[in-house]
Amino acid sequence: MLESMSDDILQRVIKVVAEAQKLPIEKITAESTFEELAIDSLDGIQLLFHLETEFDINIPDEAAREVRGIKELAEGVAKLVAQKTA
Amino acid sequence: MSQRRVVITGLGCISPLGPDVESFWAKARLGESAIGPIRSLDMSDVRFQNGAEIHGFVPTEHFDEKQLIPLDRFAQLAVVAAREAVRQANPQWSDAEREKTAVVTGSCYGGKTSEDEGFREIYANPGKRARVHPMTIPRLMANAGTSWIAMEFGLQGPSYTVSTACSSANHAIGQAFWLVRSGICDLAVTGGCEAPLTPGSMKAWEALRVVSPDTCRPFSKDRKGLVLGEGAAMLVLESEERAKGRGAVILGEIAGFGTSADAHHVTQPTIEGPSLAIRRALEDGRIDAAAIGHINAHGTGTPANDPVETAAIRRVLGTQADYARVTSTKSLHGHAMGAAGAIEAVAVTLTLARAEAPPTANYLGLDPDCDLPLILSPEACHAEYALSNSFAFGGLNAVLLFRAYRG
Repeated sequence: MLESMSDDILQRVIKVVAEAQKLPIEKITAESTFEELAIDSLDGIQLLFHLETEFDINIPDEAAREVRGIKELAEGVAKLVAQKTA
Repeated sequence: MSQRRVVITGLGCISPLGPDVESFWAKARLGESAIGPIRSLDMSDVRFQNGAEIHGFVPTEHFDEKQLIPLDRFAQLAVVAAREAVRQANPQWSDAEREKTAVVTGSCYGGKTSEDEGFREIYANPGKRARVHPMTIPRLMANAGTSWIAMEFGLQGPSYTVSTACSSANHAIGQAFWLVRSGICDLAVTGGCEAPLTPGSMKAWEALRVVSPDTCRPFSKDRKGLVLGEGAAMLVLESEERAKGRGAVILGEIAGFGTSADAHHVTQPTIEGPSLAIRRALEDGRIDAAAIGHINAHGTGTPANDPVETAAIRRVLGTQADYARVTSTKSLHGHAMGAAGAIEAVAVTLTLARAEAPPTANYLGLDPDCDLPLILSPEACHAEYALSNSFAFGGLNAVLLFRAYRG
C-alpha cells in the first residue's frame, strides 16, 4: 500500500504531525510509531482533526482506532483521499 | 468537644487588579477600580461597554503550547492562581497527604470562551460539515479548573466543582473548609475561576438588564447594576495542627460556613434566604453576631441586591450592623461570577491579617435602604471576625466566616 501511496501524502501527514505535536519534522519518519513519538490518545484525536482539515476528509472512528503509527496513518489518509476523488 | 481549626496558609489571585496577590492588594487597599471599557471584544452591538478585564495575561508565559491546547482561559487562570497559593503555602505533601488533600473550585460557566468559539461555526453554517475542535469538551467542562489543579500537584483527595452562579466560590471554599474541619481531609486547595467575557454571554447579560451602563456602585444612590469581571483566586486550607506542626506562616482562619436557598424566585432575592445563610455561618463558627467587625458584602451594585442584603445583615446582626464595617470589593475587581467569592476571600484574609480594609469605590451618596456603615476610603480594620457574603441568582446563598489568626 505504501508503495502506491503518493510520497506527497506521506510528507503532508508528517508535517501535520510535526506541527500538532510540536516535534522537529526530521524526527518523524514513515516507520515512527505513536509510542515512539509520545502521541497519546488525546493527541491522536487532535491529529485526526488536523488531518481532516488538511485533506478535507472525514475519518471514521473505527478506522482511527486501529492506527498505531505514521505509515498506517498515511495509508489510511491516502485511502480516504482516493475514495473522495474516485 | 473542641473542633478542629482550619487555617489559610496560601493565597493566589489573578484578577483585573493584577496578576498576583500583592498587585491585587496594592490597588484594592487604596480602592483603585479596574473597571473600564472592555477591550477584548467588539462591544459595538452591546448596550453596556464596561467590564473588569485582566490585561496583559500571556498564557505562554505560564504554560507550554501543548499544555494550552486543552485549557480554556478560565482553567488557565485557575492553575495560575493555584500555583501562587501552593508556592506560598509550601505544603510539603507526603504521598499519603496528597491522598487527603481536597480540590474544590467554583465556576459558574466553565469554559465559556471555548464553547462560544467552538459552536459559532456550526450555528452559522448548518449542514455544512462544520466541526469543533476535539478539545472543546475538556476545555468547556466546568470541573476543568479542579482537574488541572489536581493534576498539577498530584492531589488525590475529594475533588469536585461547585456551580451555584455567583455563590460558586463561597460554596466551594465552604465545602473545602468542612472537609478539613471534619478530618476527612488535612488540606484543601479551593477557590473559584471564571472567564465569562464572551460575545454570547455579553448579549445574555444585556438581555437580563442587570448590568450597569457605567460602573459598579455598591449600596450607592443611583446605582445601576453590576459590572462583569473575570479572574481566579485560590486558597490553601490546612488543619491548624498540621500548619503549626510544620512551622507554616498562618495567614488567617476560616471559622464558619453557612448556606441556604431562598426557594422563592430565580432572580428576585429575599431577605430570609441570605439571613439564614448569615445566621448559619455564625452558628457554624459558634460566635455571636456582636463579634462581627467587618463584612465583605455581596454588594453587586444592582438595584435589587443591595437593599435586600442590607436588610438581611441588619436582621441577623441587629445593633452590631451599625458597627461592622462593610465594603464591596466588586466595585474594584468587578463581578467575576463563580470566582467572585474567592477573590473576596483573598481580600478578607488580607483585611484581617494586615489590619486595613479596602474601600468601596464609585459611591455617589446615601440610599436610605442601604444604610450600612460603608468603608468609603482606606481605613484600619482591627476586626477579629469578618463575614463574606455571596448570594446567587437562583436564590442560593453562601456565607463564609473568617477570623484573624492570632494563634
